[in-house]
Amino acid sequence: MEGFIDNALPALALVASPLNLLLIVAGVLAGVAFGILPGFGGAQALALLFPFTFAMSPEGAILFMVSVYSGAEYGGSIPAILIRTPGTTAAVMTVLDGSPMAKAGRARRALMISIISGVCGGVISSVIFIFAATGLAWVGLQFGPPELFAVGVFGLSIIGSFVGKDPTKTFIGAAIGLLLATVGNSQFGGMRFVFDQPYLYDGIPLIVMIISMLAAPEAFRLMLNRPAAPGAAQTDGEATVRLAARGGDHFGFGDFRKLVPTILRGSLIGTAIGALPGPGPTVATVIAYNEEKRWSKHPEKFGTGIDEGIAAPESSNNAVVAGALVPALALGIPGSGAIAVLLGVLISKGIVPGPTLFSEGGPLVFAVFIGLIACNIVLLAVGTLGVRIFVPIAYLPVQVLGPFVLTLLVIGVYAFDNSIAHVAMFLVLGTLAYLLERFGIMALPIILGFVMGPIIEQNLNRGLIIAGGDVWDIVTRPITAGLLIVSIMTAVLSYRRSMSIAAAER
Amino acid sequence: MRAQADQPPQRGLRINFNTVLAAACVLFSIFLFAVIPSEVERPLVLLGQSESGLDPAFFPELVAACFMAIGLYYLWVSFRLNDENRFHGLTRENYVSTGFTTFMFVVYAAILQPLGFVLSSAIVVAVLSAFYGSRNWLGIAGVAIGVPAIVYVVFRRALSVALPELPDF
Repeated sequence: MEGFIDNALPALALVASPLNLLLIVAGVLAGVAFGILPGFGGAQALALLFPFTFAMSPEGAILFMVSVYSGAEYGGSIPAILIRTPGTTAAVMTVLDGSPMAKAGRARRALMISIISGVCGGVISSVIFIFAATGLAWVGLQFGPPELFAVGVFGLSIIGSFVGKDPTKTFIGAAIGLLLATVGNSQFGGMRFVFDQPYLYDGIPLIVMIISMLAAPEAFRLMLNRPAAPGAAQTDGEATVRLAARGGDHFGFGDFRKLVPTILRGSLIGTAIGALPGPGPTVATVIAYNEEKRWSKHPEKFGTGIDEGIAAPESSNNAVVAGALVPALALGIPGSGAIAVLLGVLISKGIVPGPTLFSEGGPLVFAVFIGLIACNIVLLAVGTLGVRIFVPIAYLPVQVLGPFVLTLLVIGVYAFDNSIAHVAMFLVLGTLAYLLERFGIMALPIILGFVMGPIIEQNLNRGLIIAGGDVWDIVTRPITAGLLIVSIMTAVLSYRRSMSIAAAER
Repeated sequence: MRAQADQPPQRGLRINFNTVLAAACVLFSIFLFAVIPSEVERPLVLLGQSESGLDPAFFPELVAACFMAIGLYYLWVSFRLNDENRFHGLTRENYVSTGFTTFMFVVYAAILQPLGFVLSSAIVVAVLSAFYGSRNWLGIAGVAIGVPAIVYVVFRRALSVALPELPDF
């Protein structure tokens, strides 16, 4: 309890500073705006807004970015309800009941359910992790290089969760990431794979890698005028809904009370799924929706525009944000593209995510979760008052959006270290990411390999030095052995699951 | 999957899109094994003992072996796959557009420092807008100059982010 108060009070002071509150508001507004844009999910929003963090303090930057992430996750549901075009993949389930409800003249009610459920989900999961953080700090103290090596292996084993219908391509992606991570000056005191190019001496910075892999293919698609939004093709004039109040449009306290069990279930599902590195918000919303349908006395009404059909996916969607921060901050594992950018921002500010962050950077970790509560309160205000202003963003012409995206990306990679070499890296890696996507190799396994590779190699090296070269001594330590066993199980189970999905698809 | 549904079921082993990818993995693995001796520097050895617990070539060799194993496995599996070639979805126009966009990115990287952020961005945005069919020259000029200028003012002046400056002509 003492540790909790020692960390929570300074964290509260950090979040409550006027500048940080302003950054939270700005982050939420920017996140909602980007989330509305079809094709731009949380990861792309964070990658594009990364350059804005250059002038911010570490805690300001992380609060700004988590606000952007929360805003983007919510923003995706606005076009899902109003124009049947989910702004993010996670908002796909919201379309099922949000769109019919909006078409029936109850758009305002659908939006209110969406924002209130989302905010409840975000707050519930943040509160859970504020209390869990003290325990995680204790766990973090037990971690040395051998344990961190096992964390790296575990992080890599979750790539099975990202596989589509062809798991082998996911492994190819991870191998590419692992290889790219070895470029440059190694910890062994020599260069690797620099091919006499001085600009490769420092290796590929994580943030350049992430922006190139996640945002550059999107920029390419934008230039080619091929929106990649899930369900983007559904956009049509008929589907657009006016926000005029009609009978049954009002959403009152009585309605909210009826939805409390649904919101609680959705929030807990989102929190649990978010804490698992890999599945991400889309899986959480699908599970929350299906579970709600299973629990319902009227499952046949799902898909016709009922309150529970919006509340379940929306509460789980926002609950994922806090949940996903736990493996990222505690283990340094980027469970999703958006979290990978967040990790990149942390590292660019000199904060190293990992088990010791919870024990050494307690107030910062607490500030992140308290900040999430604050940004959910801001989201509530934005969602109830400002939806009307945001809707036109979904129709922003590509001619304006394209240049804006391009210039922001270039600033992000150039100004990070004032290096034109990073622009060149962005160019090469971005083109590579676009081409690999065409081969069916997605960006996330590459990023995961890139992040986990150095953790595995460096900590195995340190562990071997400490153990005098005895590998057995490393792998038989209790936490290490436990994590390695879990890694093998995770890899095998997720691979088998993906193979059965692939077989079913074929 | 849609493409598969339209096609009649295919029998026997056949070389396809994935076979090329698998072969590329195997070839890349051979390339890696070939360059590792020259591209991985050895650590300093003090008093006859390495200060490192791990050989610096171990991890790259492990990755190269992964490429080889995955490639060989996939080579075998790919003959039975009837996967959609995602490059087939691209038209000739798409290839030209992708090539031109990449070329303009190269130009952007080349002129960013000498011409400064605003001018180089304006040139690239204007050329790309015109290439992608916009014929509203006033609009092109407005966006090409307006967007980089606004972005520059926000980042350079308000956020103090260093960006390549406009050259002195």
